[in-house]
Amino acid sequence: MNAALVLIALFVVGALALALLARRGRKMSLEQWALGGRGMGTVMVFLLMAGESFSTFTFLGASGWSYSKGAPAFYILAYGGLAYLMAFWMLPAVWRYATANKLVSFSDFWAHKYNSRALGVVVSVVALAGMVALLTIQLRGLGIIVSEASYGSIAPQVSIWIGAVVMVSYILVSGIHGSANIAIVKDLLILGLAVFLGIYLPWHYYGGVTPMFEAIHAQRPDFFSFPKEGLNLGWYNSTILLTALGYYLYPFNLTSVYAAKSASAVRRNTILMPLYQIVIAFLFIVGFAAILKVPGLQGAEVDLALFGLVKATFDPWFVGLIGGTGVLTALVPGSMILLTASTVIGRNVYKEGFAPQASDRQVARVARVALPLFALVAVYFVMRGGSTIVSIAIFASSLLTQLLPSLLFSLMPRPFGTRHAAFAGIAAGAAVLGASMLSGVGLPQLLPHAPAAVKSINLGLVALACNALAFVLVATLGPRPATPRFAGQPA
Amino acid sequence: IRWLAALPVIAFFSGGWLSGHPFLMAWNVSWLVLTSLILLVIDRSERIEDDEDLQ
Repeated sequence: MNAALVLIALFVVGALALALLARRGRKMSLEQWALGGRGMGTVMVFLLMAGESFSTFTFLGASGWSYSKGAPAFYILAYGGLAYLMAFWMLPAVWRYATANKLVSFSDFWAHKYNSRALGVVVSVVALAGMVALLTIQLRGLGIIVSEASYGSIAPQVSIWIGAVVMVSYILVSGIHGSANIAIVKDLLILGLAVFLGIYLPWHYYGGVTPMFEAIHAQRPDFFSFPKEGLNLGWYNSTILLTALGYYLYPFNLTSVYAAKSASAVRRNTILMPLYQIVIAFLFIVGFAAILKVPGLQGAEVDLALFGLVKATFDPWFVGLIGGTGVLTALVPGSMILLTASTVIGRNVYKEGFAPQASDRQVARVARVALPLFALVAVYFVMRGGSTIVSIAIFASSLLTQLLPSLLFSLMPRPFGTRHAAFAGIAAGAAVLGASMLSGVGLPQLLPHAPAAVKSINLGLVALACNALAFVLVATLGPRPATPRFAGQPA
Repeated sequence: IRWLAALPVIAFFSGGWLSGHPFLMAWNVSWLVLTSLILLVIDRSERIEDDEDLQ
């Protein structure tokens, strides 16, 4: 039993206790369980949003990609800034509409806006597929963190099961309050650790950040620029655009918006969040510091870069502290994904799809049954293994961004489009993505003679363009039933 | 002054091109700070407009 393992166990038990205590003195209606009774102020909304934006994707994925890819990894810094810029205007409008109409789940927005239960079900299916991928990232990251930080004494598979059970347990009992309580501790810890590691490791190994870059450049001169093919400048800019557009279509991000108590609390958060993204730069530096000190990591192993360097540098108790913090970076977003997915299944798949007369109590019961089942599906995908954390995230983003045209067109001062247009757009975008995935054919195969900048455009963006085109065509030429409701207009 | 919001958009998309012709990291971090400042300025100016409308 090493010191690191004891610390990680204490973190897990402490997080579980903190989350379970969050239930005290609260009567758990569906709205209280899923949205905290819509009473979250600026600070709590910030902690939840920051908790979701700072997950194992950033903890392991960002350092892994800076270690293995170099410049292309910086798309992660850029898309956050653009996403919050867009959110500054979009999210207060979403909050006003959701609050006026007492919307609870992610898909409620589409079902209500377009007055179509069937559209709510379709959006739910897309959202659930995206959320399985996103939960897979958190559980995979959790497995890596616990296994690495415990020096291999706990197998990744065991820690994935423990993590899933802990998440399911406290969300069932405390709902969003459990995640919010853990987020307070986690955000403070991750902020301190990321800044410390980003400053200390280059100084310890190279004497500073500039000498570190000089040392890397001396051994790998091609590492400092974009490659000519593949992850080149065309890929970089198209992926920034795709992920920025899709950022608030991560269903759990919208749940935090619903939970806010005012539009100004939402807006204040969009002003603060770009500053929080800067923490990611420190983790990029950790990845760079690992290039010459932990060489040879390939494929999905690159996600181990941070822990490889940390274990070579610090005593086990400190590795345990970093591991425990890493566990929290998986638990907060992972539990929010579970909460959002189970609410979508209860509200939109069960009630809208099969039982329109179901009461809130019945919906809550279905959501609680669906919660562990959804976690099981994600565990299955984690156990299958394969891709790196960042590549799974880009897939999820490509899929969820297909919901953007129908969201944006419905938020216009004079809403444009119909439920048929929304169906057509989502179907066209999903078809392009699905066909490419199943056939393995992308732009390089379809346009072999096109310039490299065109061939490397992220396929999710191509799917999004087809989606928007289908939406506009059907909205203009197709059947014209009731248009979407105005922002802020109750039913 | 909403036009200020166009500056980070131009900056984030031009950063990769500029670096191709450590800079990219510093550029993106600087623009994250500036994005927050620009949003703060727009938010304040819109609140002042709202107050003037009320009066």
